[in-house]
Amino acid sequence: MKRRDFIRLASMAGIGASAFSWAGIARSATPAQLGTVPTNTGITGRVVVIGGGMGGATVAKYLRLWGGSGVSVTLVERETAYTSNILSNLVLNGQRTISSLQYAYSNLATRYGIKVLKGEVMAIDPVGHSVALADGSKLPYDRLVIAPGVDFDTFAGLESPTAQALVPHAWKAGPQTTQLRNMLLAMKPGEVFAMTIPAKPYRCPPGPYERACVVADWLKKNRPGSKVVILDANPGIIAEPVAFGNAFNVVHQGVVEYHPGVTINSIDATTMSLNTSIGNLKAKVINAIPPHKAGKVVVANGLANAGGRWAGVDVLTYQSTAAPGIHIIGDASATTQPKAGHIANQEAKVCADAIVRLLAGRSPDPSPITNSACYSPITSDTASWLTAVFAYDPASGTMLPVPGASGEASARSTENYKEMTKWFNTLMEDSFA
Amino acid sequence: MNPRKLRLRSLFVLPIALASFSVAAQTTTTAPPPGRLLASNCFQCHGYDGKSSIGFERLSGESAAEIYEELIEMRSKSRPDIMDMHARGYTDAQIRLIADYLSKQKTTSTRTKR
Repeated sequence: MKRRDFIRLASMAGIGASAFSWAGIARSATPAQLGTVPTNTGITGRVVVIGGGMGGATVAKYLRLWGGSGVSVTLVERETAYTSNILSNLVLNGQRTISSLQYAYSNLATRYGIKVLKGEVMAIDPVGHSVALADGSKLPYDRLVIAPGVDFDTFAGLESPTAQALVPHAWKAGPQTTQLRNMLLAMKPGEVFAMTIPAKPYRCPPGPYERACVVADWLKKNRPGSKVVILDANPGIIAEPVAFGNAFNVVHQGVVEYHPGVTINSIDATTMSLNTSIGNLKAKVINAIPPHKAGKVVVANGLANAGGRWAGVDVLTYQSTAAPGIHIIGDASATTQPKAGHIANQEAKVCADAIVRLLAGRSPDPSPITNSACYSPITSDTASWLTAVFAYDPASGTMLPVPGASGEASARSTENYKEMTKWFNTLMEDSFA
Repeated sequence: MNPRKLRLRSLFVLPIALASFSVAAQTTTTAPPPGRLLASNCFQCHGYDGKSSIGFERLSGESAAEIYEELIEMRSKSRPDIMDMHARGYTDAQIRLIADYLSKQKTTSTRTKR
């Protein structure tokens, strides 16, 4: 029996860690392909990473791959596995399970020698250079990287936990995603699924439009006569306007009702109704995605110096503009780049490279490039794509889109849908394997 | 030898020694290979150092000229797919750095192109 077959059988039989993705376990690169930690770089330092999402996992891995064994890396994360937001809309139509989107931290520990600590951060001491954990322990650092992702505002009317429990955002993959799937299953033909989209910036610009498509596609086949009503705070579709415009007006015509520029005044969870700037709406299911801000650890430690919501950073190093020695990557930082997993992975590499250079007494790379790419399902077997490349602009000190290098697929296709799985598997491998 | 001259010389030696020591402290570590950070933009879809076996085309094992020409060709496609579009984000000089870096990454197993 080939090793690959054995692993596939083992995972089917429920042997092996449940937190592994079937995709990751059934087909994976060899350790030599994944890279090994060099022992001879001569670079030393202690780096603590808070948050094991796309950015945090990637920065931890590349600090070791590029910095070598002299750079000790401790990753602090409160969950035992990462649940991917990418592709989590496919849990809603039953094409994916939550467990197929989960990635354990064991590879980071065993392959790259990263110390993975399950714990909660209580406080950061930016002067004494240490992180205090809930269990009373302290982690000293030379450089701290924070990658906490996003936190959410609360809609008026949803202040109580009881009300919140009835109106999931499902914008962090996990129990709420499963809950929303179950709410969809409980719908009857002819009922309304209402969703709200917050004003930008929010995590994964095409994500809400993609969700509307996946849900509409499922309702059309399984609950005929039902509708998806989108209440978008933005003045129009902010990502892939061609693909989603076509999806709303042609592919899912009569199923999707799109309303741009809508303000949500309040949500009543007991009557399942929304009070909005275009009137009141009653729905069977309300999927309300609230306005976003940086994760709590950023706000609580005085690092949200961009409008009180996001962390201001120097994009050559991702070092905080509020506190030296602290770097903030991914969705929590205030940059001109989109908030999404693929580009968080690249920001993490820029940050790792900069930290390794700084620890060696060098200057950061003066002209970094980052890229964003993603595929969005439009139906259960077609998808579109979106890509952009960002280059450092010394005049503004920001990452600017390279002219002519941003765009979306000219049309949805089944080929794109297949490529989407490939893209997802390698992206997750680059971050967690 | 003039003792005064000797004293002067020894005065000169100290700062030079200090300077060379601090230079040494910086150069005990090797500078990151040129093109590595740029090339890491490829790793999300093509694997670490372009060595993926599960994703898109494997890049390691190709010559610098092959990678360079492919990327340059992609930039002029009239109906760009995702990679044709992506290739437009890099200057000629950047593409050359990426191609040089990737071509130096040794393949470690049978090359499978997907």
